[in-house]
Amino acid sequence: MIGRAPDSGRVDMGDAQPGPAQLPDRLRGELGRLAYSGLVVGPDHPYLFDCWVAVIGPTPVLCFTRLHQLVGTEVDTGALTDSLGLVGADAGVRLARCVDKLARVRALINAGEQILLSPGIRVLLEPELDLGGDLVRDLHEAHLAKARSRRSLPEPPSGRRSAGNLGEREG
Amino acid sequence: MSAVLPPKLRVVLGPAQFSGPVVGPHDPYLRDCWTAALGPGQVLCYRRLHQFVGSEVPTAALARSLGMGTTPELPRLARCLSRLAEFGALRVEGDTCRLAPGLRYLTRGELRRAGPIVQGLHAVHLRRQGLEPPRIAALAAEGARGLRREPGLAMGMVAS
Repeated sequence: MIGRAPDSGRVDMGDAQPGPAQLPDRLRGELGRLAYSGLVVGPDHPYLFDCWVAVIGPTPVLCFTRLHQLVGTEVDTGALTDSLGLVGADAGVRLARCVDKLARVRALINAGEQILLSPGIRVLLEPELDLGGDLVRDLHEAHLAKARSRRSLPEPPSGRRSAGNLGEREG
Repeated sequence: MSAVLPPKLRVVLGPAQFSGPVVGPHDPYLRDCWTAALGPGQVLCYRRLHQFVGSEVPTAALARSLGMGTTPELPRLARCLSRLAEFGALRVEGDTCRLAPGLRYLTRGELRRAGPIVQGLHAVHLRRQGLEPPRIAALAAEGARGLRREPGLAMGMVAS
């Protein structure tokens, strides 16, 4: 879904605390609070796979989706890395890096053995769209246009985009 | 196998590579289960390429849109396409990328390596589709064997 949420804004990818080198052996996924104002997309929304992938990379995007499937359960960290195709001696470190990246964009809070997942992630901001290039910008615009037409929303005033709630899931 | 990608890829739909039921590029099975076997980048790349069927896509822009960097030779994208080719998901011939319309279900061996989370998701998907696990396992094994036995049929990367 694309919806609205409290507090916002741009997240400076550089000001976060360094993440842990390794995660605990077991993780518990819980649903946390939404950390954004403005438009948000849910964990199965195609916007994640179309647009967010350019900014945080494919592994964090699919990790966010996967963690949402495991909300309310405790999962073995090794099983989580296997399920994401992270293999090799550094698989745990790569997963920790991936969780850290998600934490930097406020998609989750890493609280040791507990991962507090945001119900959704905001849509991309201008500098992030620049990072993704024209392909991603076009897809971003298409998603917002689709949301507007579905909700029959008027064009947002003063250049501020408003997409309403898509309620869309892939598959 | 070509390691250097052309500046643009013309993306076309290729022939089906597998008999039996397959999963399309937007099927949740792809990200739920194939991610473990192919890797996250490959799954999202396969999906992205399907969005460009019938058109040309600049390889640098493709890599950038997938968060795979912008270095001149696009090594991450090249590796990603090679990996997809190994599994019969596509074939790159010169500047043409022939995409398989779908992928088979995972084999028993792939599921074993993928671990319990993916095994559970695989079972749920099959149940939802009304598919019989033994039959699907047999078809998946046959599909995987076919690619190994007759590499000419597999959609590999071919040097231009």
